[in-house]
Amino acid sequence: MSWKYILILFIFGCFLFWGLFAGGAPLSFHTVLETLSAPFGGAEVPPVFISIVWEFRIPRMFTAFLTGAALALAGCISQSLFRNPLADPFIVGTSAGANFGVTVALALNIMYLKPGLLALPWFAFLGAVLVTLCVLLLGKKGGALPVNTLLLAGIAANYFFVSLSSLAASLGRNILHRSVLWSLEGFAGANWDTFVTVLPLVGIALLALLFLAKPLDLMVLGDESAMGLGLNVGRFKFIFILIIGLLTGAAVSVSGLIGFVGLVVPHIARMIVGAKHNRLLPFAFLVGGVLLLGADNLARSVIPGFEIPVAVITALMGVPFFLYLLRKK
Amino acid sequence: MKEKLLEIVGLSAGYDRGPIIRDISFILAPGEFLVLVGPNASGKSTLLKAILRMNRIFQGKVFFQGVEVVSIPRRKLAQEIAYLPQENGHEFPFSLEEVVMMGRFPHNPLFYDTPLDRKRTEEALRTVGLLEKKKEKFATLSGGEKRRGVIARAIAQGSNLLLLDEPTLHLDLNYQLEISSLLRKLAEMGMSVLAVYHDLWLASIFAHRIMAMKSGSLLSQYSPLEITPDFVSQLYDLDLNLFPEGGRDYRNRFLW
Repeated sequence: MSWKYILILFIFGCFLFWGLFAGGAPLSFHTVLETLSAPFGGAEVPPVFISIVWEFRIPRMFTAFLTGAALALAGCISQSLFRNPLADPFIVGTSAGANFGVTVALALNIMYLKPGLLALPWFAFLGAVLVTLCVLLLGKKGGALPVNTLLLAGIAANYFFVSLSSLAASLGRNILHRSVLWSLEGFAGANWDTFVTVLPLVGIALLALLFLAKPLDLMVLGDESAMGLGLNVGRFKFIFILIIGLLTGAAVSVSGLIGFVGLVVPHIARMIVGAKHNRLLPFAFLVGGVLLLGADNLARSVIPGFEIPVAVITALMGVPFFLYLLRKK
Repeated sequence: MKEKLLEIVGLSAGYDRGPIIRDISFILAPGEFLVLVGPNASGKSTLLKAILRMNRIFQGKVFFQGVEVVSIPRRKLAQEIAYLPQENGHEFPFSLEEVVMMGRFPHNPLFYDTPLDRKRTEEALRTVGLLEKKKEKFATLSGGEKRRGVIARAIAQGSNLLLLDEPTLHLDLNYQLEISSLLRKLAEMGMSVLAVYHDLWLASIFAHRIMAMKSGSLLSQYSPLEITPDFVSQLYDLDLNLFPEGGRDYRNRFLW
């Protein structure tokens, strides 16, 4: 068991190291080392280097890691809850919700909630959580939350909020342009503030999920079996969907819409550590983080001086794997 | 007086639209293997769910060891009564051991497994004869092994009563016999078993007692020897004379 963790942590370390060099400004190996030691009384380096390494690259890498981890956790929950190994965390309508939130902010031309506090991430987050709540209300059927109804409620909410966003976008031309740009922005704007915003949410979710690991195991058996084993199925479904909404909302708010991480990572993790959630969740957390960190590094190193949207990288890597999973059945 | 593990008195239950089963009363003794038969939609599954208060109870009472089931919290109830519904499979790579260990949930819902959980899981696997397969993926097991696996889960649950909804469904004959004899063995070991069966022949071989349901009501209770062609005709509204060959065959099956 432990060598798997050692391996993934080793890759994490390598990617962190790689990420120090990835990006528009070509810093030499030597310069980066000097800059790393500078705040601790090391060599004198120009402030701009310190800013690049310490205020952009490092927080950006940790933000990418947390976002990937959040999407992976949300993916694990979605797949077990919907009892479908090909379910996606955006299944509960969060992507459309986030998009709607961003559109509203753009339409009202709110760019800052207060000086220094960007509005778009918060609108995206609130939109995502709002739609998740709508799905929960719509999916409710006589006190229970049947999986099929939830799924359809998710689809309905998705269409509804996408249409609302399209309506707003067709009324204000540059809203569409800006919301598309936002959804592809990735981690370009990440800094310590973004990291600190996501950290508590993702951290709390990870801890909570460790206590919810066994209920999630039971969810895979189906409602009746889970109830027969003493689980209050309705209550736990509600909690799980709320957690999916919070996690994907947080991810979307800092990075836009990044697909396939939540879909593919739980699979990879299950292949390595099995399906039991008290092992799966922590491992998927690491794999998701490391994968998105790698993808983001790649996004800023492929073309020198230019950033490919990280969502493009995850899709290009994720789609072949997804097709492989489809074929394998 | 007969010992009671489960006592059901005048039970009417169903869903919001109204009761599906009406005025059901019976007693289940400790260590008894009681089989519930009857045509489709006669309310057999509804009765099992009503015992676990998974649907709506309109009238009547369910007592487990003299305590009304309504007053028992769900997790406590799961420590006393195990339920195996007609499970549809999934494709998640749980090992057999992990599936059986899920039976320990009512005793330990926290994220780690205790030594006691492991011990009970081993015992349960040994009882159903699958100990050597514990590391195998549940999804790759044969139909019969899967069924024995979920029965092991119910054993690990440590309950005194096992409710099963068509435990032999979709199984080959050899597995049907294997599962039924396993259930009989569990009953001899002291666990009470209440199972819904479709196959009267299997039921009459293995059950201590057979109960027939029709249109939501309990027809009567029978010893396996009372399963006669007339009984079959009445239960299924069936005129055996209409099927000269098959009907005769069916008669022979019950005239030993």
